[in-house]
Amino acid sequence: MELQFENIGKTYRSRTALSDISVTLREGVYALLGPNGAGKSTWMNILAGLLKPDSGKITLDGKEISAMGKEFRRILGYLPQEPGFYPDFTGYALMKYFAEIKDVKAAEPKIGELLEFVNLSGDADRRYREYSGGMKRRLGIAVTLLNDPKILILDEPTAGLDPKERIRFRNIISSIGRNRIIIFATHIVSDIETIADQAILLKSGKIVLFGPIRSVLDSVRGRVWTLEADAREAEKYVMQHPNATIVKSGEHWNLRIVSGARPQGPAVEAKPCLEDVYMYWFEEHSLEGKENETVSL
Amino acid sequence: MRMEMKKVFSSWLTFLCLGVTLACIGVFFAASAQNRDVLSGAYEELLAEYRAEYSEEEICGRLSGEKDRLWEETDAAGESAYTQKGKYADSLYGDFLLFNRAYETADYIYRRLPEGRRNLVKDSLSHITEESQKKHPDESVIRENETIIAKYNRVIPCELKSTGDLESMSAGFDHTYWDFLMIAFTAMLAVRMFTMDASSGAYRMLYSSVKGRKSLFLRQFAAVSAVVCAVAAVQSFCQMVCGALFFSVRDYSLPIQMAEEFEYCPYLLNVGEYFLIKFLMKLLFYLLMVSVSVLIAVLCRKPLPSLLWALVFGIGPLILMFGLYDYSASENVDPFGSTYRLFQLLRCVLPQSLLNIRTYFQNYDMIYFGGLPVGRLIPACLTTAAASAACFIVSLLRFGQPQKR
Repeated sequence: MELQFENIGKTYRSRTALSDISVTLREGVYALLGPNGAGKSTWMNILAGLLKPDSGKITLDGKEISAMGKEFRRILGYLPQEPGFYPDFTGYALMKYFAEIKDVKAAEPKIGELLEFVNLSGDADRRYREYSGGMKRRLGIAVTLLNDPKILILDEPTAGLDPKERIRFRNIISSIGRNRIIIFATHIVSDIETIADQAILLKSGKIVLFGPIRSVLDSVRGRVWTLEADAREAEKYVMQHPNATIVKSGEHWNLRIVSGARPQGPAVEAKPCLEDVYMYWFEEHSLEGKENETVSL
Repeated sequence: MRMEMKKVFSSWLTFLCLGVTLACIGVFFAASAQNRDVLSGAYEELLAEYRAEYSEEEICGRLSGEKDRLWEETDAAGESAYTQKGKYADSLYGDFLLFNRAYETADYIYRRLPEGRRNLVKDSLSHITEESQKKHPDESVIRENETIIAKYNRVIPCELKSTGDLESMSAGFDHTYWDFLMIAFTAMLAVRMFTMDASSGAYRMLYSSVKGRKSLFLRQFAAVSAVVCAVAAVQSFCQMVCGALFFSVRDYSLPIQMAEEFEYCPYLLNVGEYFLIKFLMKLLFYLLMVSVSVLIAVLCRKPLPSLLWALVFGIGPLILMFGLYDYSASENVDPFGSTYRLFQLLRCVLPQSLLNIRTYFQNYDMIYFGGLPVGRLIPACLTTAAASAACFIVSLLRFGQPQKR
């Protein structure tokens, strides 16, 4: 299965939401990472058929998805950023309704299975309005998986979840991630490290980096530094490196700085994490000179 | 569609509206029971007896004689006329009332009705003759009078039977308040159904699903229409039941002209066909109301503004027609005045006119399309159907398209 985006562009009035997006995805879990307004949701909506791109085309195994219509929607699962359902429906009724909408044959056992899978079987008869944020998300995932989608789009799936819910969600994604293309958009970097095989970094509607997680981490290798300083020195470092992460440790402060040049003082090179990648690629001041840079790893 | 029905009934607001609607029907029912015709059974018995015993020529004379005799007897009996048992009714005075009514009916059926229609034919014949003798005769006047002759020079197959009290039967159930209520109910139902996907946020998941938007649109539209049609059918059914129970409207095969208010109805229709047309016209309007509300909801996507606009569309013209109807029904109306002409024009095009179709059937009410005489109800019907179809198609296309922005 090969999902190919060719020169996808989308503009809202004068603002460019997506510009010349060209990428090919195969089975695996892809994290779409970018700050708010980077164009992640626009991309998801275009793939889900909710928005028309101004230019370019999307093909699945050589067939244009707009021409595939139902055939494409049959293998698509889409969990939007704020899914929302009918507040007076019970969880079970919603599952049943969407099973009908998704044309799922003999849906009853499948519904039971999925509710069990997302740990909602005990709450299936409660109204949606009574669900917590996490339960709503989990129900959204169950609904999305009803048709056993081969292409799964998850837009900010962990936003608003507490740590326990987030772990549960990650486990769900990890367990279904075989033989599918899963694209999940997020700006929460910790999700990516545990779930994704590859990352796509999106900035101002453009892909700035695309590749396996390890390679993405490598992109900032040699640019991450840690050092220990007192309060006065720490303040000085922060003035020089506003993206620095500061953690107080007793009388001292531990600083983590992402910078192309080694900071002055007792800085030690550190092993990069995805947060460093995010800071490097998306912090305003750190992007000078990288605006037009696209790296494929 | 079962799940769409569930969507319709997933809110207390639907139940509230439905409750108000049913309560209204209950009130109409109670009011009808209060105004029931207590003499109807005896009256029908009397008519049946005279019909069986006497010929058409004899009936009027017999009834008139009996009526006069009862009047004298009642007069002589004084107060006891109200307590003394009559042959048909509970009192002598009741018997007099029955015979008076039977005489009025017989007089209308056997004399006034044919005579009135004959006069119309005669008038038209003389108009044709008069126009033909002119140096430059107006063909349209001749054509119109020829149509009048064709429509009225027909025998209405009447017999001495009671059509029942059609007017009282319609008093509650066909009231304008009911129309306002149904418009509000329809608009609320349609707007809620077509904005709830957007307002709940479910639309993204729905639109990206296999069945897609068009199927969803059709199912939602069908669910709303079914509920509205069901309420309209319940209302009509209750009206029929009320008519049968309280106003003796039981024989739907009688010609509509046997009810005096339809004396000059130009069509050969029976009471049942009239009620069927009335019901279908109401349905047609309600379907337009559904289509318009859906279109507004699809374009606007927000429940409250959509509802307000739908109500403006539904109720605004109804109030206008109501005002114009009051004016045109007054005695001093100028048939050549602009207000009257506006009213007549609106009756041809405005869908709200379909809510009160009585006026289309009470008099000669034809216009000419390409030389052909057509009842004003036909263009009103066609306009409504066309507007419904247009709203339906536009909303389906708008609902069925991915957003450009």
